[in-house]
Amino acid sequence: MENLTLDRLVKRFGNETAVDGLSLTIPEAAFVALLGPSGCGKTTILRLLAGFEKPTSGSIHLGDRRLADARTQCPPEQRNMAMVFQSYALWPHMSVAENVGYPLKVRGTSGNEAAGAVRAALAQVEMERMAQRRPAELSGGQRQRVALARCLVAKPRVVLLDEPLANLDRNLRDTMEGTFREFHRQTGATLVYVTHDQSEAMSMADYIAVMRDGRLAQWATPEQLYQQPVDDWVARFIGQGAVVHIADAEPSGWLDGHVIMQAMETSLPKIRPVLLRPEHIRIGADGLSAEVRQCVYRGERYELTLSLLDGQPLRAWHHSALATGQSVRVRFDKGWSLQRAA
Amino acid sequence: MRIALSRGSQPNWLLSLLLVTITLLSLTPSLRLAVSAMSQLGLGEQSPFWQVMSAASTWRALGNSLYTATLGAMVSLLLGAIFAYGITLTNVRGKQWLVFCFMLPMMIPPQVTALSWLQLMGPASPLLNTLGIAPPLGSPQPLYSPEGIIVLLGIQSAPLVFLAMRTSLINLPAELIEAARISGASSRRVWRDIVLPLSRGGMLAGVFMAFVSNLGNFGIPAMLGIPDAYYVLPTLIYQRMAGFGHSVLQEVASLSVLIGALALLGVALQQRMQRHSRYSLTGHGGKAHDLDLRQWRPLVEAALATVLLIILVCPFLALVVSSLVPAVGVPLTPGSVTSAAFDEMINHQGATPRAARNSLMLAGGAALVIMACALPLAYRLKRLPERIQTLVVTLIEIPYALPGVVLAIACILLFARPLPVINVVVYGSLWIIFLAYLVRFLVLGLRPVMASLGQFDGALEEAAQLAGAGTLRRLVDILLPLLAPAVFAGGLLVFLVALNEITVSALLWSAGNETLGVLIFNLDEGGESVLASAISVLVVVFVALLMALLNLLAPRLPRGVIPWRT
Repeated sequence: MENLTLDRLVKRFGNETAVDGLSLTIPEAAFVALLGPSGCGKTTILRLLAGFEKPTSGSIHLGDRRLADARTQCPPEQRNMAMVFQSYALWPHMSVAENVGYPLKVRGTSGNEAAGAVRAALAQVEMERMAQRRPAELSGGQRQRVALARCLVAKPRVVLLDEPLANLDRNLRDTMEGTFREFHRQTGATLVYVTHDQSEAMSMADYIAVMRDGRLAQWATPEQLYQQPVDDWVARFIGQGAVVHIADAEPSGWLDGHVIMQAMETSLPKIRPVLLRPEHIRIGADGLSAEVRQCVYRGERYELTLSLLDGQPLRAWHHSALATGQSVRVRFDKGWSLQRAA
Repeated sequence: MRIALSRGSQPNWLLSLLLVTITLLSLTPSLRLAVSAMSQLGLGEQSPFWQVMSAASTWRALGNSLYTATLGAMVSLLLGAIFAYGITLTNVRGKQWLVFCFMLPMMIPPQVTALSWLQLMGPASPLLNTLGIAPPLGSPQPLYSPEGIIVLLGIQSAPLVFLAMRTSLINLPAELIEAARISGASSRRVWRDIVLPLSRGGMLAGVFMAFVSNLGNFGIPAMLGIPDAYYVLPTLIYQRMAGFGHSVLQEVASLSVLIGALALLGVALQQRMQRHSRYSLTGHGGKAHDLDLRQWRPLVEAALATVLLIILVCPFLALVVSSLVPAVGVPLTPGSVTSAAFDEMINHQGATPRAARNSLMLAGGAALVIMACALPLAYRLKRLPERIQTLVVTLIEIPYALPGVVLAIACILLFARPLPVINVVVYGSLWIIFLAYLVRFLVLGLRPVMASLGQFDGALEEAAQLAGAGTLRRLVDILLPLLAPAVFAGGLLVFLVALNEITVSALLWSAGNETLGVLIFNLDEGGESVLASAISVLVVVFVALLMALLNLLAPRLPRGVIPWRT
């Protein structure tokens, strides 16, 4: 197995710690998203993997091969990785075909073999007809595809993607997400994808590493991450929903709806955060009293912001509009009890 | 964004008037020159232009000019490219220092550069005599040759190539290099396949800039070529004017048009190169690339330092030694060291303090007037349509782009007779030099202010306008405080360049009205190289101090305002 292993990785810039003791094992051929708010260190991790930055301490391994530690590091050109940059980084003085063929050229492949590989790579991203164009003549989505084809051509074991969709509009993003999934299926390479957009991460990745302040907040599949976030910070960061506090309960477990409702009505101190997703909240004839604070039309339904009697907010969905200030009753199906974030 | 101006308000009329006046002033000398050169063309073969064009001396000087300027630009390319790649692409240490030192030769007056090299080499070199390795007396001074001129022109113009290349390298997004490395390219291949093609435009633009600058250089070919009777166009014009005075005005006007046309051709080629090199580069440019040199780093650092030692430290050392000996040819020993030259210069009355006073007054006055004009002018310009803006800036730039001799001849033609209406004669006084400086260096003071104004958030001014402030009020209360660093930097730059100026003043000076540049040249011609060296040492120190002062301003200025900081 050629797992990509990060072991107690630390990267400091002056006094600032960008990556703070990160340990992570990325399985071979997985599609992994590094997700976090801006400034959480995710791009630094990508640049450490590529070899553009040197770790302050800790190490990176690919299979048995040590790629980098504080003392020695394998230069980027010898790592057999590929990268899609946020700006695509197409060389403006080369044609599309020359851009795509460059990794082969530096590896000494030329002639028919190289030409065939370039054609195949361009065909995969449906850009064969553009081979002789210059990057400046392409649209954003087309440049993106060329950058992908350049990654494909040398058959790298690891492909790094740095917010590749950040500069594209909404429609194009949906199409490109499909292209990335297809790219991953066809190449079988390990993909490490940096993004701050959770829907991108959720819809494409096998695993998501949620980063916060240079540390790993959670490593999970998208489903796990949505349903069972590890603490209240991740719960608030991922998906919609509300974190309410109830009297103490076991952390990291499903709580039945009536248990939560009981634990909210006691006079005991409310110290345990619990995640209540809108799909688990019902508005009906009985249950806890709440007041409608805001009602926003979302097309397929109305999104309500409610306030419980003790002032805690909830987020719920409803089939019809409710007036602001109206009193309603809510019941919970279930909730996920959380650890407290540091 | 354009702001609609209310018609008829007085400050706006004044601003427009200023703009028109200055544009006309910039244009007049070149027009006068062209008219003069082309007049009497009707005489056919008898016309001055025709005679000049059929003289062998013209073609010889033209050939010499092209030869020295072209090969000098090649030397600049070599030096500039080594430093641009070395400093911008790699992780060598002490970059700020390296850049500062490499830029110094551009700011040092050419006649000082020539003098310092003359003191460094040849049988009379005080430095070589002190070290006991001077060639025997009677052996030729190797610098009195076309090759000597080429080497010194190359050193003087190398910073131009360096700057043009450095700008294009710094604007090169780091991702383009990183993408090549992760594609498997070694540092050398990255350089060959990515960096070299993408910086070629900047390189060629720099070479043309160096060529134009070499073409107009007077100080170096005057000090190194005239003793050997090797004339280039600017020195030919000077020699004719010095020998025959006004009787040859028509003839030198034709020569000036010739060299002016060549220079403008070079400028046009340079701008074409710069346009071509502008790929639409996306991504995060704007920082040095810092390729890790690993074990080669000390070697590269040593190589860069050695080049600086040869082109900067050694000549300066020779200059210092020359200024401390009692007479030419005497070696420097603890017994012979004397500050007599400095004494003579500072404490005695005569040409030296007068020239220093003249130069300081001319440079300071030009800087002050240009500083006062720059903001209102830039303000008015920015409110014109883009096309007219470009046109006006180009017109203002012409007197600076043209070789100094061309402007000087144009000014003589323009001011030889008393000014009409007021009936004042400026020819033969300091005023003619002063006017020439204003026209020539205006663009240096204007450019930083234009750049700053371009970055200025228009809303700041609009807010003041809504608060009820009129044009003048807004200029004084809002724009001036925020743009003051740029105005000051522009003024300092004008001061620095005007102080070093020799070409214009070499033709326009008159007895009692000499400048420092002219003085150094005259002293050296008169064999007083010790005194000339002492003045030069002070000039170099003064220039370095002014540059350091500009450096202190750098954090408060937009990028590119100070030529040696990017």
